[in-house]
Order: sequence, then structure tokens, then C-alpha cells
Amino acid sequence: MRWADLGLTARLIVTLSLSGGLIFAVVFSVNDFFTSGMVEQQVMAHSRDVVMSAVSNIDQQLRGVARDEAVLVAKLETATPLSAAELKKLLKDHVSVNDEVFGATAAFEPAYSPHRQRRYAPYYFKRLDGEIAPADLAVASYNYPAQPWYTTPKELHAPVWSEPYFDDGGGNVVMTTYAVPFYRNENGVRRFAGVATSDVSVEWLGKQISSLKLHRNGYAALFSRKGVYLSHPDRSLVMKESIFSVAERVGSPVLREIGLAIARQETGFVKGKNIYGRESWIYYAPVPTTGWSLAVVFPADEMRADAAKASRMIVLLCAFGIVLLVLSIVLVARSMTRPLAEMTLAVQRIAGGDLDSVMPPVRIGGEVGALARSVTHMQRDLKEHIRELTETTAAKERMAGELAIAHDMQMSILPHSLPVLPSIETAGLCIPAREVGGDFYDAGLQADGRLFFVIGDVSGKGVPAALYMAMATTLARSGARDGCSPEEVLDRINRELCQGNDACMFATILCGLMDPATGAVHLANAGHTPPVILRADGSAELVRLAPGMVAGYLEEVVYTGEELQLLPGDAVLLYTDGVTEAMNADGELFGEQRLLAALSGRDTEAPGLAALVQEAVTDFAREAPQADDITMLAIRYRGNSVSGRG
Amino acid sequence: MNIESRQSGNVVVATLKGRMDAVTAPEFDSWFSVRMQAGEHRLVLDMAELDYISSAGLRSLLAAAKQIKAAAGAVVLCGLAGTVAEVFKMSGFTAIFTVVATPEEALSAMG
Repeated sequence: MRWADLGLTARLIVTLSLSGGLIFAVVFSVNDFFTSGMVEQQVMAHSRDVVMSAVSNIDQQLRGVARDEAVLVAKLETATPLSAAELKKLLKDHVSVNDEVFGATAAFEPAYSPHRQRRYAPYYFKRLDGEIAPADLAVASYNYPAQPWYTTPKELHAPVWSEPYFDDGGGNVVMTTYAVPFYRNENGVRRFAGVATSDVSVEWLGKQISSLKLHRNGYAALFSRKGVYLSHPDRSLVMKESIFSVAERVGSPVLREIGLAIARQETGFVKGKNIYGRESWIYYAPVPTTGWSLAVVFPADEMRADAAKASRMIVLLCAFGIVLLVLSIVLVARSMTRPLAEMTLAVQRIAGGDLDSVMPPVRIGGEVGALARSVTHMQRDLKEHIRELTETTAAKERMAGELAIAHDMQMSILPHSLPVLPSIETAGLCIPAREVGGDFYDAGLQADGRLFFVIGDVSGKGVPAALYMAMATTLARSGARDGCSPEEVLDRINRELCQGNDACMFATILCGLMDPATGAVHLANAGHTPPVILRADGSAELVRLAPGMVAGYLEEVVYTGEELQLLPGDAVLLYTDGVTEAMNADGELFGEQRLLAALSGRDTEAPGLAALVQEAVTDFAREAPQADDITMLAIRYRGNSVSGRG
Repeated sequence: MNIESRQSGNVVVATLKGRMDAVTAPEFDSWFSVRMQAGEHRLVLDMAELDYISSAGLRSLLAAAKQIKAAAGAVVLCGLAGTVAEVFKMSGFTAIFTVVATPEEALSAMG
């Protein structure tokens, strides 16, 4: 399915879900980035706090041991050397008073021994039952002046904490020995007199360290300066393995680095695999007193678990948000598309012609509401328009009907047949430009046997002209019936038409009387086009009559008559200006010359003359519409040979 | 049809051009009614460039002349030639209107 084919809802869902998802993804990524950085910072700060507080705790306890030892040494260095009994009591008390001290000795240089010139090293220790038991280290099998705990402080002239060791047989515990050299003042010279030691169990360290709160799977380990495990949740490592041996075994360069850092008494925070191969964050720091190092290990995934949980929560919320978004889009889109779909159906019904189709109610505003209102408007306007159109059409049809009747009536006003005389042949023709016209003609016999004929043209066209024409025709007929001369007929028509002629209508009229016996014609002209006389020899010319005023404008006009003699074979053609002023597409007028040319040299019966001219006009005008009514009246004088006169 | 008019004193001289028939006569009618409403009752109509006038055009002129007469104004025609002159002569309109040759003569005829 192409994108263009998708509906509004689908488009909105795809677009908004994608952009919403993108926004959520960006927010989530940024949040995750900062959160994981923060988690790391927090873990580091936390592990530093834990390590520092534990280290300071351990240090303080060891300093307590050192302080007690210092008290012991001070007593050993008094000016008056102690007796053997005093010494033993001192050692016994030292062991019993100090909980951390497992055993203590004061090993003398033979020169300063209470037993002159003999090795002397009484030792007191706590038995398993809690009793303080004595022992003697100055035995032949144990050459104590050669032991490291003795030689090192002696050489260094400083107290020394020994590397922890496993006390086999004694307490079966891990121990360290704090060895302090003591001196005698001989004549102002400080001389080495021996070494006092306290054996301190490191077991309590293990307890203390394992009591540290290190989340669920975090743990702490204590190392000697050489990297030997002094404490570890896995007791099998204690005193048996060093960080280097473990690093070698599990192949972890990070652990080796930590071992080296421990040897250099450095503090650090590293990320890497712990001895179990689990990705961890490790913080380590030295215990200043002994040079040991404490390390705490936090599994990274566990530390990130909270952040991961938060992230999962965010993802869940995002998913929920997107679902909510889609739902709201669907709701909103529905609220828009449902009215659209309903409107589409309604519009289809309207288009199908059901203009009364009820538009769905519009419940929402905005663009869709505006569209719905527009469609309702359109429906109403369309209905109104169609109603108007129907009315207009009906009115037009009525008018056309009336005009058709008017046309028929006008045609019936024009003569149905012209008089037939042996010596005169007449023919008339009237072609209105519209349904009704302003042209008229008539011909009839008067009581004395003369032929009365008239042709007229009312100014303008259409219904007003037709009404005027009807009046003029009626007036002309009544005048002829009353036996009036042509000029009298014109006078009468003019007077009548002038009455209340506010529209300034007028008519050009040419009328005449012809004596069938002689061919004499008496003509009177009211501004009409000059008639054509067609002689028997074929020549045609215009009859230039004296111009008479058009009828219907000036009441005081008096018309005069003129004589015209027709010889046998002559014909006269009366016409209206619709003939001479017929126009072709180029705007040229048919004109008098073309009229004369059309008639010249023709020897035709009267009906043929009118037809000739009509044909010539049609040929000339071609497709140009007929602008004015075309009317012709042809009268041909045959002479009296037929009537038996000559 | 085209009507160009200019003022000469208190007389409006209008040049009628083209054809004045049933189709174009209403243009003259509306132009004339504007003149009348403006109180311009003295007109010279120059017809030298009028190619054709039909009976509808003549009717418009008659109506105009009637109104001018009622308003005690005056109208003079000039420059009639060709078909137009013939139509005027034939229909007897030369007897109804004051017809002179040129606009100058028309103006002097108005007095």
C-alpha cells in the first residue's frame, strides 16, 4: 500500500507514533547516559566511603595495639632493669589485658638479659581455654636472634608489622606480629637491648570486613603488602593465594594492576572482571599502619540494576505513552473522519440529485466543522439555485410560449393572401429577426377597384415594435377601407401614433394606390426606403421619392403624394431596411447597389422577385445572424392585354 | 459605438463613432441620461465618424431631442455623411433636427 493511499487516521498514527517513538528514544538514551554516569559516580563515592571508614577503623585498632606495645616497651626501657619475675608479670598482664593480643614476648640481647649473658625470651600466650600460658623461646632449637621478627626491627631501629602468617598449632589463626625494638641507656648512649613483640590475630579483621554492608553480592578483601589474601569471603584463598597468583590463574590483567598498586600503597578505582570473571567495580586503599590494602568489589550489573530498573520503568512508561498517543490519535482522527465520511455520503446523495438529503449534524468546529457548514450552505444554495432555475426556465418557457402565440398572431395580422387581378400580380414576404417583428405589409382592393398597398417598418424590434406594428397595420387598413388616399392614410396613422408616444417609437411607411387599368401609381412616403422599379427591359432603379417625415413623431406633419407610372411588364419592389442593411460577417451592408444588381436583367413574376432578393441577402449575409426584420412587397403590372383592354 | 465628448463653454460636443443600431443605441441612451442628470442640456452631436444609423438609433435621437426640448435645452447635429446622411434625408429627420456641416457651425448655431 502506498503512502498516498493511506487514510488520515493511518497517516496520523504512523507519523505521530514514529516521531513520538523517536522523541522517547532520544529522551531514554540521554537519561540512560546520564544515569549510568551517575551510578558509577555513586558507586565510587560509596565504595570510597566504605573503604576509608573500614581502613580507618582497622588502623585505629592496630594503633591501639601499637600504643599498648609502646607502654610495654617504655617499661622495658626503664633505668633500672626489671627482674625476671617482674618481666613475666608484665608480659602476662599485657596479654590478658589486650583482647587483640594473642601472645607477647620480650626477647633480649644476651648482654642486656636479666640472666646475664644468656639469651632470654619469655613468651606468654592465650590458650584455647582462655588461660594465659607461659613458654620460652630461648631454646636451643629456636635461634630467636636469627629470626626475622627479631632482626628486622633491630636493623631498622623501628617497629615492624610482620607479614601475616598462619599460626599452626598455636591458635590456628592468621596472625601478625608487631615487633618493636627496645633500648638501654648506657652512659648516655642508646644501645639496642632487644625486641618486644605482640602477636595479633587477624581473625577479627575478617569478621569486621565481612560485616561491611556491600549491597547483595559486593564483598571486601584484605591484602598484605605483598598481595596475599588476609581476608576474603572465600576462605580457601586466605593466606594461601596472592592477588598475583589469582590474576595469573584467571588471566586478569586488571587484578595484576591492582596487586602492583597495592604494593605501591596506592588508592584507586577500577572497572574490570573480578576473580569470578564477573564485571565489577573495585575500589582499593592501603591501611597506613601496616601497609595492607582493603578492596571492595561491586558487581557492575548489580549496581546498574537499579538504573536498569528505572530504565525499564521508563521504557514501560514510553510504551504506555505511545499506546495512549495512538489511542488519542485514533479518537481524534475518528472525530474528524467520521463527519467527513458522513459528509461524503451526504454529498454523494446530493450529487445523485437528492437535494433534500439531510446533512449529518456537525458536532465539532474547526476546519471539518467549517467544511460541513460550507457543504450545508452549498446544498442550500444549490437547492435555491435549482429552484430559481426551474422558475426562470418556467418563466422563459411561458414567455417563449407567449411569444410563439404572439408570432402566430402577428403572422395572422399580415395578409393571408394578396388580391389576384388579371393585370396585377402581387407577392409579399416577411421574415422577422426575432419571434415577433416591427415590419408589416398589406395589399387589398378598394371599393373602386384600385389596389391599395402598404409596407412599414417600426423603429426597433421585438414586442414593443410588434405592438406598434399592430396599431399601424390596423390604422392603415381602416384608412384604406375608408377610401382614403395614401397621404390621407399616412396623416391618419401619424396622428394616431403620435398620441401618447412617450417611447418615441416611430414607423417608416410607404403606401400607395395603383390603378389596374392604367398602371398609374399614387405613392405617399413617411420616411421609408425608396422602392425599386424594375422595367420591362430588365433595368432596375430606385424611385427617389421626396423624403417624408417618419410617422408617429410629429403630429403636425402633412404628407404629400407622388405619381409613378408603370408600363406593362414593369414591376415595383417595396422593401424594409432589413434588406439593404443586412450585414455580413465583415460588417458590410447589403446596400442598394447589391439590391439593384440582384434584380437587374430579371424578368420574373412577383413572387420570384421577392425570392430572388431574399436569396441574394442570404448569400451575402451567410452565417451572420439576421439583425433586422426583412419584409418585401412585389407588385408586377402585366398591363391590360390580359384584361382585354388592349 | 464610441462616444467622445468635450466641453465647449456651456455646450457638450460629442463625437459619435462607429455604428448606432439596436445593439449600441442603449450606450448612447445611458450616456445621454448621465448628461441630462448633470444638467447639460445643450449638445452638439458630431456624426462625421458615424458609419451607420438604424431606426433604433434614430429612435434614441428622437427620444433625446424630446427630453432636451422638455428641459429647454438645444441639440444640433453636424457632420452627417454617407449612409447616415441618406437615412436622415430619407426618414425626414433633417426636418426634425437642426443639421449643420461642422462642429464650429453647430456651436455658432447654438448661439
